[in-house]
Amino acid sequence: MKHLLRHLVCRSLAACMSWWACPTLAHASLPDSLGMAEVTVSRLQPGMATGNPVLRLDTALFARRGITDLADALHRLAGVNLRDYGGAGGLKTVSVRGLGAAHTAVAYDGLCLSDNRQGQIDLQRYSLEQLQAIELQPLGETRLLCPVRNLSAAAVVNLTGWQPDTLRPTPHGTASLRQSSFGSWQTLLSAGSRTGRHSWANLNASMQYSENDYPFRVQNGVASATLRRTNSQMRSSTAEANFLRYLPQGLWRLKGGFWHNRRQLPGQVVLYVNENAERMIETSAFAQGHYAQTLSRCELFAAARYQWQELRYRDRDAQYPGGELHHNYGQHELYATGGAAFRLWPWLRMAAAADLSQAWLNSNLPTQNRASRLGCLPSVSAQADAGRLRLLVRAAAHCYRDEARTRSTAIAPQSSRERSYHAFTPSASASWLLCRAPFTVHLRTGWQRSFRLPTFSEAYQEHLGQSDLLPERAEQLNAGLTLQAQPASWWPLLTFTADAYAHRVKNRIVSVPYTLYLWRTLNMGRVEAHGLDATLSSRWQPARNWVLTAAANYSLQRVADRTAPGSDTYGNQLAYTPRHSGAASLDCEMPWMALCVHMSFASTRWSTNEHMLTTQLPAYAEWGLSVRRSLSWSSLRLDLRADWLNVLNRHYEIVRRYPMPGRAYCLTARLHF
Amino acid sequence: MLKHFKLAACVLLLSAGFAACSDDDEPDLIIDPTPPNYGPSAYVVNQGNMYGGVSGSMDCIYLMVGNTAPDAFYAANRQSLGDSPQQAVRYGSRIYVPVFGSNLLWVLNASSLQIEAQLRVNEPEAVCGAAGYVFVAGNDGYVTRIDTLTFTPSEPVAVGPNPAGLAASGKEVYVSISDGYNYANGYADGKKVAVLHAESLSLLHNIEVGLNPGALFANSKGEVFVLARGNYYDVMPKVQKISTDGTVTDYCNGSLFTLSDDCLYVIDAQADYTTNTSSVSLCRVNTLTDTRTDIALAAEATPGMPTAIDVEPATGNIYICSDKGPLDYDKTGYVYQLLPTGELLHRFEVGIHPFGVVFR
Repeated sequence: MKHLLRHLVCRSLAACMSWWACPTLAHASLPDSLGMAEVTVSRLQPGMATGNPVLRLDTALFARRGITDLADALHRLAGVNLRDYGGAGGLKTVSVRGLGAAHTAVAYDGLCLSDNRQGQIDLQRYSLEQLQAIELQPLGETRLLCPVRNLSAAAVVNLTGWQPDTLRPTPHGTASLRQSSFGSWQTLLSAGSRTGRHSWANLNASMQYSENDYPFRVQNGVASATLRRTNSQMRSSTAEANFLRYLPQGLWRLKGGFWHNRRQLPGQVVLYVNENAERMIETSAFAQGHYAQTLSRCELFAAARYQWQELRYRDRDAQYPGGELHHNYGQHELYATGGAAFRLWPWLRMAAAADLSQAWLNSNLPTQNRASRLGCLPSVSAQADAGRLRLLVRAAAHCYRDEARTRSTAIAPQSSRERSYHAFTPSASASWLLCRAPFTVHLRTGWQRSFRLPTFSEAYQEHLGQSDLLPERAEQLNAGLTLQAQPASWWPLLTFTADAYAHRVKNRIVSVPYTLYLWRTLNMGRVEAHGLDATLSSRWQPARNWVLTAAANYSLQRVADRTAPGSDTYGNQLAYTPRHSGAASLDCEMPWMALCVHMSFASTRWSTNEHMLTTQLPAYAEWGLSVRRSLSWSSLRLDLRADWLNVLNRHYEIVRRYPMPGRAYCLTARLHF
Repeated sequence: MLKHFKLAACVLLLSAGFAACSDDDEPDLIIDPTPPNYGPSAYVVNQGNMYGGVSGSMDCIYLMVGNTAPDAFYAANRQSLGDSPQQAVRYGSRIYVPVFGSNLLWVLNASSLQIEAQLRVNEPEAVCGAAGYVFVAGNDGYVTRIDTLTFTPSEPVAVGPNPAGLAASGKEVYVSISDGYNYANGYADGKKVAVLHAESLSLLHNIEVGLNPGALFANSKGEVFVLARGNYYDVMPKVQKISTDGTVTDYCNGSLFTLSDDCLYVIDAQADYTTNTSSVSLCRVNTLTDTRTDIALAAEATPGMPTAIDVEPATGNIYICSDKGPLDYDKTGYVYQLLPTGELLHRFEVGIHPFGVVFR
């Protein structure tokens, strides 16, 4: 029992470590303090007492909810609308509450990832095997002290990578092998060791290969056919190194990584044709470090990140000059952030932070082929804890300066263009503890303004971009309640959250085709949305070594086009935004194995804002089964897991003409040593 | 109490999941395959919206009564037209529809719209008929000749990068070469019209024309008119005339045109994307006398963003395909049926992005 308690405490504290920017928590996680903890009350689940909603899944929940990959995990978070182009190599971007992927920041270990060219992060590069937790904050950051970039986005998805496992013997490692349908293989090797009294290091690498040639159905009347995806092979490799050292009342951490992905692009399904010749090679590398320290009533943090990305796209087709189209892009970014928080009174903390970033893009396009963006973002925040009430207010300024240049070419002389953007994003949130017993109930509300800049493609890419675009602005309002209870000894956990929200987006940035190869990008459109996100989870222990876990999430989204009153699309639900969506899982842990059944669903959607029979995407529900078992020998532990996905073999699309895989299996063996 | 709550929550969630299920993988179009007898009719080719996953279609419009039968191609053949169809032509008793995205050319019975042949052609962009053949220009730089009796294709002939228009005059076939995908280099190889011999399909010579040439038409004198589309930025579109001796002259301004009974019908449209409106003017130019007549359009007869213009040979009525506005490429559009004087007869609501009318 003592060991179990110690394990639970360590797990909880390890989770807190990911909140590295909050040195108080970092200090609490010093390994020397582990033996002192004697926790007898149930800890509040993450996000239960915050003014802004927080939804979190960790490695234990990945297994208990039958989650197989990152896309699957995001489906289990209320409010998330995943744009999935299908298969192992398909682009996966996340939009929260219908705001669009460009309004969602994705942070890896606390620092936001960036793609200034596209403005959206492709999540398929992150393997669930290498993540400790996924956290969604639909109304922005909840921490008082954090990088300012995290505050500019309407929603934040936090991915937590490696964390030291202080309980395992050192050195230790994990090797895993996953084999799944459609010729997919994935291996992972991770090795870690304690390198000093307070420091740990880890190296991990993974490789993935997938043929991805899954069958799909082309609906075309008498010419309907079942075909297989072609030109969709993918090979990717990832390597990452981590180092963490705890200081007296602080920590510092270094992290570096490399990712390479070589894939064929199957493209959208075209009637009467099942061939494509597109290829894409993506490579990226990053190095980041951060430091956090508590000094009496003051907390400090500083972090920096360098990121390099390269993308090479190629399409072979006789219609292009020379029979091939090449698009090459290279991006670099230097990013630094730092801040401090002061406890002025026991009930009031103030914080100030600032970011500085410089990003560059080079391309082989003939005009405006070099773009750079310099950013300076200061912020101030205050948090008051007055008994049952917690209040967080903050304001951030965003100043950016762009420069786009054209290298001198045969058709375009050397030229340069400069542009500045300024924005101010205030926010406020409050949480009020309504009652502690028999349930812990919190009421919360929040308001936030956010914005997104035009991406380099939207602003400068030849035959697409428009350099005088305005930033897209969003305003959000949220109100909700959270409930947590421990109703009985055999029913240790019940949580429920419900949040209603409303938001509007102005100056939407939209690209419109002029011809097959010529597009224009414009500020047009206004969107208003309101909706409801609800989550429910419960755990029962009906008998010794038996644990039942149920979880469900539901989203109601009414995201309407409010651009032009009287137009055909005015008031229509936006494209690819289901009005009803959700997921549920039921897991039964038995002494000899664990069994999980799960499902996710989405209601009817449309592929354009005009709602017609030909643009309609039917509702779907996907069911899955998962079986897992752990075997131990001495210090070795072998986790075995088998997943049966899309059990009912439902053919559906999330993005029109990009079919999702049908029935599939996935076998995973993971050895901890 | 809690038990009830738990049970209710589970039931609610499961029922929501089941409610979201649908046995239909794709909505089925319910179309009456028997066309009603509403008198003369024409077919409208709708390009659809490939980016939104909507395939092309052919609607039937009933010219006298103003009615529309949606997707007559599907109704006649129970299968889709394909992705990104281009302007169709009628030659003899058949209609030929090039379908760019689907790499095929449909040969259809003009009266029933039923498929007579399905021919594999690489990226067909334009088609014309002459001397018992149909000529197809592919965006891959080749022209293929198809025998209209046996539907046998010839060996493709290289003409130049990205052909965009075809016209036949006498024993010659004119092909506009746009080099449209080479915009980065200023359409370097796209300022010419290639001339082929219709019988031997050999390349006779090239004629230098304006930037980015597109549609072509020939009059009864053997003069050929070509639309030089410019660069969509600072080089404006215009119509040029290729005289019988091969000299090229600027003829008039315009962004879309057609030719009927030796008269050019020219639309000059300028889009304003910020207001989603466009300014549209229409004129008729007699190519034999070079006399121009402006055709005034009343507000209700002015299209939002014209995409094609055709003239009904029997009546001289003008048909303008149009999106509802410059930003409405992904929405259903209209076909405006105008008298030769420009008065509106009917406005047909048709499929997404209408792109040409072919008469039955």
